[in-house]
Amino acid sequence: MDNEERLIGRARMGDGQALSGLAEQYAPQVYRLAFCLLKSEEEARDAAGDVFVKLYESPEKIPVQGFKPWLMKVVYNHCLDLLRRRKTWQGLLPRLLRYSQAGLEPDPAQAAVDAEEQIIVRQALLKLPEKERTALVLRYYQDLSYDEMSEVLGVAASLVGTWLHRGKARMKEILEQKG
Amino acid sequence: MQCLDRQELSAYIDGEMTKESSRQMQSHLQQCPQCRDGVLALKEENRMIRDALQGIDLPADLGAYVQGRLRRRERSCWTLKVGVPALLVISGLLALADNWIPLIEWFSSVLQFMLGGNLAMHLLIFLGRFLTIAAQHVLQGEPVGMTPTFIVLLACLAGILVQIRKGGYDNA
Repeated sequence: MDNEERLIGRARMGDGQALSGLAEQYAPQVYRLAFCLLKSEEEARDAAGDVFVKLYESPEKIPVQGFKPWLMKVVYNHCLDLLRRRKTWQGLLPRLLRYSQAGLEPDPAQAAVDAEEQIIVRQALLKLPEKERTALVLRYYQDLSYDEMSEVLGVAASLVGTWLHRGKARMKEILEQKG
Repeated sequence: MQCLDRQELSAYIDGEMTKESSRQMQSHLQQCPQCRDGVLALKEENRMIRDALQGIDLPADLGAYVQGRLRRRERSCWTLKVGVPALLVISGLLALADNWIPLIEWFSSVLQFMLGGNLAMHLLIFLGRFLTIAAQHVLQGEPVGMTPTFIVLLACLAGILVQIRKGGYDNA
């Protein structure tokens, strides 16, 4: 049994330390998926916190097998909820709602450090429709298989392939338009 | 074997083809420079996407923030499991003494200052106390002024505001 399996086993029993260990390991992945969905650094950080608190509250839901795809599904569903709520609040209180678009436009200091290609590709990726964007993140950052992605996204594996293909084609168009 | 379209080539690169199709594809690639170029272009696209995603900066305090949220949640669980029963026992004991209401208020304010936890629960407790004290004043025909109980009540509110400000609540 490897270290991660041991942590998952203990976390399932409600062990806070084990959950902290899992959070330490997975927080970057959770944050990056949340960021790609929410397009806000602050909200993505909050979402990462929310997700691990949810795990703490219902440890029995943590699966023994396939922890990572399951975790990504929790993140995905949580972010969809936030987006739905954001839409409602945007309609009701447009002036009070302020969410950062940081990351879409890199700050000058960061731009100097970051590779220009990465920034351009990331900007194009963040312009994709939500489903295609999520599919690309799950496949090329989280390294999930099509079957695992279909579990996360709640669609057939064949559709996952289509979303990936469409996402890449659309990204290409955006990048070409940008010249 | 015929040339594959981009989506099929992508599935091949992602290792999502059946073993048989994958084997056929490999032998096709040896003879078809067009598909070979397609595979190379797609691999390059995938690399660019992967690099761009891995390059998303993490907030400097991400780890500390998540761990902090977990610790606060854990602590608020203890508040419910230990703090509230303890408060009830202390309240029961104090009820035997004179002037017990301000003392109970004082104990619960201290608890609020010390522990974060659930904002909704604290606001409910606060509202409950406010209504109880206001009702006592009205029933006894006393004017609502700066009595000791009201001063302690204000301390409770201050405790809640301090906790909100320093992020002591999970849901605020």
